[in-house]
Amino acid sequence: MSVFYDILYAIKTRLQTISQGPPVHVRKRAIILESDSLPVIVVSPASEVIGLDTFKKMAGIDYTVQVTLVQAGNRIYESDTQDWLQLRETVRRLLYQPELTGISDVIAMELDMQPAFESVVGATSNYDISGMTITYRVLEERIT
Amino acid sequence: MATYYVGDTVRLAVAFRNPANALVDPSSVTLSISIGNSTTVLVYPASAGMTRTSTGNYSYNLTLTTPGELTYTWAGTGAVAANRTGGFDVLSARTSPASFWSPANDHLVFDSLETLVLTRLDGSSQTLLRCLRLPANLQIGEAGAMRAYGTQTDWNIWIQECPTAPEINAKLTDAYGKNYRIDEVVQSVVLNMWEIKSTADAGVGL
Repeated sequence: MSVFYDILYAIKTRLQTISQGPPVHVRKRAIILESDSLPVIVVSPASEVIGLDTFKKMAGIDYTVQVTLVQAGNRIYESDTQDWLQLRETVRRLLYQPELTGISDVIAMELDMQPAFESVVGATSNYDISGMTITYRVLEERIT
Repeated sequence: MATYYVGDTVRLAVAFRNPANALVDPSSVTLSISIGNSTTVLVYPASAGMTRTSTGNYSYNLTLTTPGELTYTWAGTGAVAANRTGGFDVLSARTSPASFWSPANDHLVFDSLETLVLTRLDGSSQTLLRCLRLPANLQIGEAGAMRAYGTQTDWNIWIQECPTAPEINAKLTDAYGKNYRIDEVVQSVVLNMWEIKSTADAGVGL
């Protein structure tokens, strides 16, 4: 399998260790489906950039992953705030580690948090959404 | 002809003058009020509510209870023998000026009526009969990297079923238990319906 998919899968596996946590899905895009039960976590690939060139045909590839938390907001503005922030913190603590099970040659990682609560733009505004991106720099040997 | 509604109170007044244009009290003053086949005759000062405000000036505050075409006649005798006639239309209610357009016969127009439960912001709930669900729009919105779907659903609700306007963010629950939050409330042109836009709760879909 590709390194990118291995990273996505490793993140999914790690998030599935959350006790009584929401279901985690790996998807091509950060998108929720009508059949999703809420809350849900979606892990999706963002960008794949050659971030570093070194001697001896080695390159550092930056894989950026989008992790998105979704819950039913339904214009309830107080009672579920604590649970939501707790889930977000748990996800952040699980992912803010340089090591990723099954992925070797990770030499760096960076995690960027997006706003804690984002409402979907438009009339369909009953979802609470929060995201973060994690970028892993993985060493790879060039062919020539 | 003026128009009033059932429940309104209308002040009927008259001034009696002699040929010299001076205000004069007649020997007796009566007020006859007719609506439909019913006529009521009031006499000053015996009838309650008949008021002499000053010399020659009399009034009566009439609370309207029956729709129809109302006519009234002030009559003076004796010192000033004169009649004064007037009238106006009385409509059944402010919320349904068009009597042909009502929940009682709306099934002639619509066949997709539903029963909804309105939960207001204070937590009180109310069952609304004969609500009309209009076609829903599926919409895709975005937040950050996430794309999410949702539905905007429009409703028509008879004001007679819901005399107080629903609040923004109040909840409508349909027969399937799906919830919708109210985004916008508009009173219809003929004042008989609330035209409501709502957004389905997350995950409700179509």
